[in-house]
Amino acid sequence: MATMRHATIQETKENLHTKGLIKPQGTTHTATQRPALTGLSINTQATAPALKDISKKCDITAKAKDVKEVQLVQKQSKLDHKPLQPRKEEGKQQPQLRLQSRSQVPAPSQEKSDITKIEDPDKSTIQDPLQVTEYLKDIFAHLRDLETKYAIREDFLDHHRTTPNMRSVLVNWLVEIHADFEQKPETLYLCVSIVDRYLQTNTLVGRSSLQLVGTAALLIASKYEEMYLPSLSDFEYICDGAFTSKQIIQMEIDILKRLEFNLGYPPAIQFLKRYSKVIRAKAEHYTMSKYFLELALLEHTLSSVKPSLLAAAACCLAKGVIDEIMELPKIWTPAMVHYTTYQYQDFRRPMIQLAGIVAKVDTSSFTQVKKKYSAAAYLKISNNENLNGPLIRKLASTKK
Amino acid sequence: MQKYEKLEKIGEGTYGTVFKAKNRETHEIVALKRVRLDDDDEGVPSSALREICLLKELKHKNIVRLYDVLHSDKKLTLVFEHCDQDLKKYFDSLNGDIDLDVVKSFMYQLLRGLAFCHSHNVLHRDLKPQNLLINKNGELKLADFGLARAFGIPVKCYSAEVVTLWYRPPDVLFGAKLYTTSIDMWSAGCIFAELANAGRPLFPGSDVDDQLRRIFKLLGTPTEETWSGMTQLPDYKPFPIYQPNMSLSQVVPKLGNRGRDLLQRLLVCNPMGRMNAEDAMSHQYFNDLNPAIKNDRC
Repeated sequence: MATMRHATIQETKENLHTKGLIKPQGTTHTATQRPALTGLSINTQATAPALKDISKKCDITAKAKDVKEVQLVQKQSKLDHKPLQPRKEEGKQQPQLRLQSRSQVPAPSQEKSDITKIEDPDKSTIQDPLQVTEYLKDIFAHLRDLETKYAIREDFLDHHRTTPNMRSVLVNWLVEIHADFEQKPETLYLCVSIVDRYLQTNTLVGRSSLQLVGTAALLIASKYEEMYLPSLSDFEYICDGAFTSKQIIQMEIDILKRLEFNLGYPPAIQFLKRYSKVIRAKAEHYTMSKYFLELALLEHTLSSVKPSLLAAAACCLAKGVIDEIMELPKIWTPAMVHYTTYQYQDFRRPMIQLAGIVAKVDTSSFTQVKKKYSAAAYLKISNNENLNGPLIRKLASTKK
Repeated sequence: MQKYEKLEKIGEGTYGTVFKAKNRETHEIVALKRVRLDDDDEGVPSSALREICLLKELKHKNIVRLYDVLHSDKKLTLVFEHCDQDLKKYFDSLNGDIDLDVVKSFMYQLLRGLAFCHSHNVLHRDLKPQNLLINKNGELKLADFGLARAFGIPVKCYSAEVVTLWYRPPDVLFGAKLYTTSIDMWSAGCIFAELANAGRPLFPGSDVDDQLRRIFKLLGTPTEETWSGMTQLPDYKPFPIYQPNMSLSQVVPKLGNRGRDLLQRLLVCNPMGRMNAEDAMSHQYFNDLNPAIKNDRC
């Protein structure tokens, strides 16, 4: 029992693989290259980037094995969607969102929270079984319970062998791997929350094992969320030989045990989808909100913010940025308050933090999220001019 | 495994052997499900991982309770509450005759367990008599969540390789990957008819085609008018147009009008038309359900 419990996370092996952790590559990589990770430099000067031209093995295994299935799924899913809902699959070509024709901000109203005057956002989709309207309330109440039950502490990285910078390096790498695996957004959020919750229980994780934790967390998140799993050798491969598959599955069980198999921490995107429907977000709003939420993953100070609250912040900020609304409280109508249960003031602080991250994105060394969202599939949203506009500047200079 | 004394093998789950065992200290009887973890495998099987994670969040009287997960060198052991038998074995002991109050009670408990899963965003995806456990007190519990998964809203594409053939809904038989809580409601309908007939399966098909043919022969072949989008499903193929030639009163003669009405609302080919668990629990059929069962919430 518990034989391997701590064996995998000892820092004593620190020197065994100095190349174990990850160095963000400023270099763009082509579709045939694996994200190259070598030598995490923590607060250090010159780490040789050592862009290893990762062999094509991983791509071959990943693609050859999965490509047919993935294509099949994509093809079939489009067909599936057709009769039920005219929508494309999440994260593939277009954001999965019911596009609304109207998107103007309703005038801020004096009519308190009189629910009878709030238009029911679910009225139009009550016949759509994919919206599971009959259980909406219960399900979101359940998700709110879960995020409270498995909350991440604000100080989870205090006195920790993993520094905030190391964590950001890891998440930046995970974003890239996740994109290469063509996985669902939920998988990425779950993966990062697993990493954070594991780090919270184990302060001994440091340079030598952090990448192993990240890799095993992605394996676990994939098993929980994905229909088709990358093989264990793919996971071994993405670590560039730093860890064996045996080490990965040992870390997997260690993580599961420490988290007591509680993987129900809800991804912020679940809430974002709900809020986007209520606010009648267009594809641009929704994609920009997602961009903010993924940028937030890089920032450890936002880990402890509840996903439901962070999603509200992202949703409101994206609306303000795209529609060039300087007075953000106007966006948060009584309907938004009612359906999110949050007042504008509740998420003002994390929203200012988000704006701060956005304002600094061009000077950040963690570039994967911005790069990902500059693709056409994401409406090139990270290149949107308004992200350098007055609203972000104003918020970013606000005292928290 | 020192804590438990293994007594006998009960069966095979989706991914592991199940044993009856006794806690050496408390003498409590439990069910142990063993999952082997071999070095050359892919780590914890995703079915086991999902079953554990999901069951940890589903604490309800009509859902089998997962007490503990033990890890030793080469295996995981899931410790479950023990139930005397499953519904399949119960059927086998009946000799073709079942008390209609038992049918009503079991059906209600099945729906209540299911409503709990669905309101906690979990699809079971493998409902069948073997996966419903019953104990001496007449309680019924959903078990074997090896194929279950959590769903988001709106629901996304999931695997079409789910649900044992006889209990699989027509949309999934046609290859639909986009399904929701309605997938379990079809299975519940099939189980309801099987209960009413004391264990005679409603649609014991031999393959996918035979399965669909049996369904359409009873319910009539759906058309684009009754089921918009059917012909677009990945594995759709045309079937002969059967008119519903048998009424449900011939299929479930003992059930009575209200029961047949409920059955008819569950066995709807078009997933959009299928009744949900919450509404089914409020159906007239349950008006005269023993209040002790009705009020006995989790």
